[in-house]
Amino acid sequence: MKHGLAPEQIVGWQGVSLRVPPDWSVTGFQGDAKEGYLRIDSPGSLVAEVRWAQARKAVDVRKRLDAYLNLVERQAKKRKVTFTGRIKPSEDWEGALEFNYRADRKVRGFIRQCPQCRRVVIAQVSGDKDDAVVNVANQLLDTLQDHSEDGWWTWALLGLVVRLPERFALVKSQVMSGYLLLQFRSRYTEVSVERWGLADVTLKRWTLAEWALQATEWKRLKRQYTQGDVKQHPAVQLVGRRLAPTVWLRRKIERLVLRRPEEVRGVVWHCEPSNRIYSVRVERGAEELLGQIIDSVQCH
Amino acid sequence: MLHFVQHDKRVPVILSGAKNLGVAMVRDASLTLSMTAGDCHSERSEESRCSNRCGCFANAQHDMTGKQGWTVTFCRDFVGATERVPPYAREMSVREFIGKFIPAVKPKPVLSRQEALTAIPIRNPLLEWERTEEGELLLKVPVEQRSLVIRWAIAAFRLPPVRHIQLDEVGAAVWELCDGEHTVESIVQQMCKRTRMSRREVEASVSMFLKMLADRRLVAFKRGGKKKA
Repeated sequence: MKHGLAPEQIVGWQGVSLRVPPDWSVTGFQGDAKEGYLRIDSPGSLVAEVRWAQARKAVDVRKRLDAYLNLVERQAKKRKVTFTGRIKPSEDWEGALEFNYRADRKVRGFIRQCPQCRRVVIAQVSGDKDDAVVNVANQLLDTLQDHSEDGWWTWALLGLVVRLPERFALVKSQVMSGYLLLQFRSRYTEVSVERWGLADVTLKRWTLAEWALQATEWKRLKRQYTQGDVKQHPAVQLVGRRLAPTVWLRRKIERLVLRRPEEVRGVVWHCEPSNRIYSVRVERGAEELLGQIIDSVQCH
Repeated sequence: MLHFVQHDKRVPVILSGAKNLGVAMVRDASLTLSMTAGDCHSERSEESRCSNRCGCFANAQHDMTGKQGWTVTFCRDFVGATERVPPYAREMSVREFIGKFIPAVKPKPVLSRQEALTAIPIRNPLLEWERTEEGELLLKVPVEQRSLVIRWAIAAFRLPPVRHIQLDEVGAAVWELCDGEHTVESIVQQMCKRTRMSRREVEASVSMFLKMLADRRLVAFKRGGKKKA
């Protein structure tokens, strides 16, 4: 790769995905599939940012870009920084308008509306004055995808890579040092994907099964477990039901309206090469879905 | 240059320049701080009021016998370092000047990420520690006997003069790297290799852990050189 940059780590969020070097990491995200923002930082001063907004029909991307750059210019003026920028139809990115501007940082990026998913995406790479922003932007933004071809979105950050059907919306995310939780919902089905770091420390005093039953969400469930292998890693497979009285009442009501029973299925496995513990849990979903999600997780 | 970051009242204060020698958690001891030749402007004595406001002073004297070093002798109860430059002796903003009289107005010093990563944590030399069989580390922290009530309570109830803090395997590894040679950046890199976690996660954890140690005055920070590319 040019300039020693190897964009081999995938970052995916709300259907937007791109490849970045392995030492870059997601440092910010907000919004949802309709409108959102993703920020990925390098160990140095380079930053990749993606903003997206869902549109129902074709929009004038030039107008949107002008509005965006005006905003940036106003902010630069406030900070008493000279702003210079230019916009031109992109030769590198198909159907996009590319922009370069310089305020207190150098920025190169593009705006485009995807003809398939109608998403308007502004993607940019910024860096300090001595960073090779143009080269890095060309390499990273080439890999940007604003929708998936097969209807499965990639969710990837901080060492967790999982794919879920598009219909699943993210309802909760918890990003802590050493722990990551992504919780999705699609009508009645709920999927939780968790990842813990420092597995060697965690499993020093416990077996995987003991730990999974006592330290995870499974402790709140009436459950049964079997030990086995997942992706050639030691794993615990669990089946259970929620115990709260409100859940009992809800289950009765759901039975009356012929909905699926409140069953929870999940797998917890210990990936030794990456020193992590992964857990996938599906509530009120098909067993097949659980298998597909587990297959999509790239644990090492 | 020697710079120390002191976490006093949970607000980090950067002590910078030759006039601002300082070290956190130094009690009943003298400590030699090495400085580069360029920083030793003159041979003179500096004074600093104790941060515990007991009214005594700590002396910092240019050590002629050492190699461009300063010997700082602290009073028995000296905990932490305070700024030694009089307000009129250096450039300061209006807000900083007002902040001298009205603490609420005082601007909070901001550490950039780069500065934080190049800082060098140093263990408090007064602490003792030992490894347990499980690979954990037991820190023995002397109880601060500043007030008479505490001294009396320790004597009357035969309380232990030290309290113990147990660090797990990972915390112990970080603690051992706080030897005054490793920067925060190099600690992060070593912990990345050791724990196989992502760099950002390790950086956040290590920073938080070191901040916690600094808040408890178990480590101090020396400002390091420029970060290597």
